[in-house]
Amino acid sequence: MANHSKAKTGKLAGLAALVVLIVVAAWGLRQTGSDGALVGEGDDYPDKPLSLTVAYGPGGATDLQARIAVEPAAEVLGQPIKVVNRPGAGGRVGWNWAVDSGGRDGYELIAYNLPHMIAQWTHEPSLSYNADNVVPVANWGADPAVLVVGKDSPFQTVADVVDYARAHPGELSVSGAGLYTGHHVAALQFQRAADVDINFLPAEQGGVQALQFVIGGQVQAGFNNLSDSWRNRDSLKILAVADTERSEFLPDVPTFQEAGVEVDDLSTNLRGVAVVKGVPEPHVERLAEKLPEVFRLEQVQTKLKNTGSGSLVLGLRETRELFERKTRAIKALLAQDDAP
Amino acid sequence: MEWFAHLAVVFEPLNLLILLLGVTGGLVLGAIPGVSPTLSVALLVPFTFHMAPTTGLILIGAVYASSIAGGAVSAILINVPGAPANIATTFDGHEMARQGRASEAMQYAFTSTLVGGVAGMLILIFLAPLFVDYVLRFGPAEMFWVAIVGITIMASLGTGSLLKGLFGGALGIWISTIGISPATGQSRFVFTHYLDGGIHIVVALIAFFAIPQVFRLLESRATVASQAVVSQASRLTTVVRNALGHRLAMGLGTLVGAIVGIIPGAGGQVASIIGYDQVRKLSRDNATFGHGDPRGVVASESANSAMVGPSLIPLLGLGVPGSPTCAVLLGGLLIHGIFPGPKLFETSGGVIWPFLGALLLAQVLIFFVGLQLSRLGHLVTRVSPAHLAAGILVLSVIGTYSIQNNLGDVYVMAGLGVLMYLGIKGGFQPAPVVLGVILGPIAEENFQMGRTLAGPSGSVLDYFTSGDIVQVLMALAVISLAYGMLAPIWRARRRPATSVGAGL
Amino acid sequence: MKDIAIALVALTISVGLLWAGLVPDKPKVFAFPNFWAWALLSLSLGLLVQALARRAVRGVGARDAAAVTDSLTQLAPLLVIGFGYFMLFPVLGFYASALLAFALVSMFYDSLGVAARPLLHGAVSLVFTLILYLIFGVLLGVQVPGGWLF
Repeated sequence: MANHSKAKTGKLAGLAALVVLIVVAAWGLRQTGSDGALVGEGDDYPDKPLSLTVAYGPGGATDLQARIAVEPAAEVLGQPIKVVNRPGAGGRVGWNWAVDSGGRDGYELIAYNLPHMIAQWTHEPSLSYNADNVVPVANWGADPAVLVVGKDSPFQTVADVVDYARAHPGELSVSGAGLYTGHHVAALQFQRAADVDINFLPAEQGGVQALQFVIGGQVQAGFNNLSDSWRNRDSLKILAVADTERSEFLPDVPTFQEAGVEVDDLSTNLRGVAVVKGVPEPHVERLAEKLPEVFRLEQVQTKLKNTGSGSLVLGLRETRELFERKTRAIKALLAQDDAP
Repeated sequence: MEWFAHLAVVFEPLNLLILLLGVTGGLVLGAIPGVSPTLSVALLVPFTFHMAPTTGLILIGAVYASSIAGGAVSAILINVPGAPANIATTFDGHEMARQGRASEAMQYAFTSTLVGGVAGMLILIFLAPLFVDYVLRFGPAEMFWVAIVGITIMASLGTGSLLKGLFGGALGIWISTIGISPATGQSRFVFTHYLDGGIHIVVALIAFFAIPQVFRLLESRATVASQAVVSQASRLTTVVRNALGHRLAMGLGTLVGAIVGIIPGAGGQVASIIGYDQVRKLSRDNATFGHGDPRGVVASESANSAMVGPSLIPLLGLGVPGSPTCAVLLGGLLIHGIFPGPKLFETSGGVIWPFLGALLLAQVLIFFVGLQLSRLGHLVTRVSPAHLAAGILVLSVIGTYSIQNNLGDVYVMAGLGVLMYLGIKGGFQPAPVVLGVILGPIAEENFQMGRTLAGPSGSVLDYFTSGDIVQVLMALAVISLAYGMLAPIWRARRRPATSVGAGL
Repeated sequence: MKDIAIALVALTISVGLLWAGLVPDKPKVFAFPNFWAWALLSLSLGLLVQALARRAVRGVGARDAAAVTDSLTQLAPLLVIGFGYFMLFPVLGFYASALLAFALVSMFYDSLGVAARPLLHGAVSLVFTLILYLIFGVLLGVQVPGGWLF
């Protein structure tokens, strides 16, 4: 018995020794790898790969464009940028995560989506992210909202839609990607400008489902992305673009303003890169200098064009101005009495 | 016959090699809990950025098809479905593995994949235009009833008690309501930040299947198949012949999988469960289902493979991806400048035909590669329980994390997993709970959307009861519910009679 | 006895969930979960009735209690290791903690006795973690949280 228990103690000691060995070895490995990040505040930023948090699932427009936009980053920035999806609750999970637990060393970037993000934090002050802690860096894309109807719809022009909505208050069903998305903003603006009351249906599964309802005739009209609508132009009629000028993709489609309804480009989906407040200023500046270069690369522009999404490359100053302008306009829109 | 020439591009040596690599990789990835087909394809798409469009799409197609089949491997060997599509494979597949018939179960699975997969692809290639309009008619009312039909199946799912099955299903639906509510956008039951985004289906899948399996292995300290059971060396040809002989299971599984697969939004997740359920209800001598009946494996795997082709109909025919995996596929197509939609085959035939060819040929390759894997299957059932359990535990953690890059998901998974283990001790089954988690949001979201749409024009009841698809679905729901309620009574009535007979 | 206990637990859970849905007092937002909470409540009542009816037929099992204690003793090391694992992985890093967890579980549950073959288990853990890293870290490119160990 004594022998047996001695053997057992020996084995347990061996086990403990093994565990200690593993921990020490691993720690040593870690040390050799991590020094750089702590010292590398200065000139050599970035000296390790960066990550870009996309607050939507893989396969969505934001995810796809983000992957296209940052894919050749290594060529310009010297380090690659890896897209990390943190989806959930209409972007809230990823953006909350970035502000609550994301790093502030300049290696963790976030992809923003306007006006969705701004409308969310304006409407829901309890969110962690807001105008004070999200620092925009560079913009890569602009995708205006368009008003679409089914191929066989009796509506031919914006005026037809407005007339119908006037004659049938609250009955015109109009789909969009969800609450407080660009599409919703466009719908609110449309209601105000045309002085009508419509029945807005936020599609729970996002913009693609909203578009499917238009094609399938479950709704009478829809606000959707120009890019997705343009790709599906064979099964749709695109009546107007919510922008200040016509789109190069759809030269024959009038803007809302041309069609006599005062809806501007507030609802345009703008996509780009931001960081969380606290990232050292030199890092932000370096990113703001290099990222637009990445976005302007021919391969990025060609691929973005392939997907039908308009590009709008802006640097630090313009992007900040854009954020400020949109924040003010959204606040004004949502403050209106008719906002939900 | 221009398309035939395009189709043949797949057979070029390089493309064939890519296809083989994709199939092998997809099978392995699909077999890892947490690495669902959606995730596999999503992680793959950036790889294809620099490839020629044809090559890239062949790779994507191969991985898409094979990762679904790969999910059967873990379903059979360790009772953890690789993706929601493989849930029904655990019912009989894992039972077979426990009886020392793991390799045989895998051979059944891969034979069914071949039949179902090829049939599904042929439907896509030749009949897609017929179904495009049918897809478009699925609005909120139709989808709501699809969810209800699914919910009625919970009563008859698995081998446990009827009440416990229903309780589990209702609990799953309740769990699915955690997070942001549809229509109002307000949070529900979010008492910790970890629950902000609700509970992801694959997180629930890992929690409810993998964690209890870790407990079970360590508690019994026994390998999956008892050491006493000698693995029966199953002859391949015999199994293939037997599998093809289960004509009802194979045919009905394929048919149900294909029909359900077309429905946008729900198809992939529930096709195999519905297929399994229908086959069990219509089979003779169905008492052996759930106890290692090969027909169960055949039904489930033929259904989820038959789903692959038709699930692409909404995407390719309309440009509307019907499932999360198809959404990712859409990205893969767009990158290469291919726009799915009514004119797809006119504008991009040279690329899209090889893609379809790859999907078709992948089904055949899955069969052959899968059969090679099957030979190793019984080895897994002999791995010491300590190593197997440790492996499943570690994979669950990293697999759960990789779904949404969310640490909170890992804690949620662990918590739900422990609860499910206790539930299993109390006689509850994981499958109805997962089905509830899948169907809950479909039911609620579509009900809410339907209510919004019906709002101004008339009554909500009218909206949800008109339309011929709706009425067919309502009838199915009623039949399914009636069967679920009456079958146990019939069985109970029949049993005393037979036992008396045996006594005589 | 066991069935009654299960039914009572189910009943408690249902009441708890219903309570959680009624307290916020937002009937519109909580209508759907509350509908299912009511369904759970009625189903658990059904389970209770069924259990009470069966008790007359079946005897009370003292064996059940013994089985529960037995499982708990069996699973105690796993629960401890698992808890440690879940607490530590954000600190230690995914791969290091996976290595430790794998090694500890396989050593504690070795069929030849605790820590009977430390070298074997150490080696298996290393190989397993390496494969894990190759699949998730290299092939899939999943970025796992670091921690102090890689």
